[in-house]
Amino acid sequence: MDISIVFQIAAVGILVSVLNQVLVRAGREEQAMMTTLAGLIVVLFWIIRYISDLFNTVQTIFNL
Amino acid sequence: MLIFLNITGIVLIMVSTGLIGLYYSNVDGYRISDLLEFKRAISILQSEIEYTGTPLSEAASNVALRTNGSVSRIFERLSELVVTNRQDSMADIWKTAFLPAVDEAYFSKKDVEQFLEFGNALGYLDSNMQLKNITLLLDYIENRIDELNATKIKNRKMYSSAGVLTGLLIVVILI
Repeated sequence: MDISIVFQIAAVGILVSVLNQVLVRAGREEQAMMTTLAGLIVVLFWIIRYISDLFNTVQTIFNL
Repeated sequence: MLIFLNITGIVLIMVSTGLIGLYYSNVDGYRISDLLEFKRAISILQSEIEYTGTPLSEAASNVALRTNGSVSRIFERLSELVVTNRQDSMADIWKTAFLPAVDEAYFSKKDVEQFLEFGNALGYLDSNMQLKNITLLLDYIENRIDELNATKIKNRKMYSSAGVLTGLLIVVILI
């Protein structure tokens, strides 16, 4: 697994939380929620193959 | 070479999103100045009707001379159309004169609706009715300017920081 993805996820997390705060302070809660959701989807998209790998590994280990 | 290309891409994305943020942070200011100019034009029209009783075509051309930018062009078109177009109603003439300004100026949808509504009562009944219609419009513009002044600073900060942060987010996602 490439370790740089951890830093990328951390950077997205920081930026999305700051953007969220800026939007909430300006009274735009809806857009703030959409931004958080978009960040979550992007990160999920990145890690989905690792989650799939994890499930495959678990299946192999326990012979399921 | 690849790093150089990467850095150029990052700078381009950051600069463009930053500039978009900067533009949106200034939109409220542009809208306030357009509304102020329109208010000035309507006040001039009001004094022309109230004190000198000038006909609308002449009053409109006077307003066009004394105002600037897109507002001046609205009244320029209005003064021409009042003279040349004899078959349409005043509301239609106002609509034809005003609608090109929607793309030129920074009026919102609500403003445009209100200004078109103003045209419906323009040239209808006596001068007293005209003056009441003008006062109504002036009140509306004043309220909008007050509202915009209250939200301007908040929006300015939000848009400029949101622009830069979105740029950073795109860069991080693309890297």
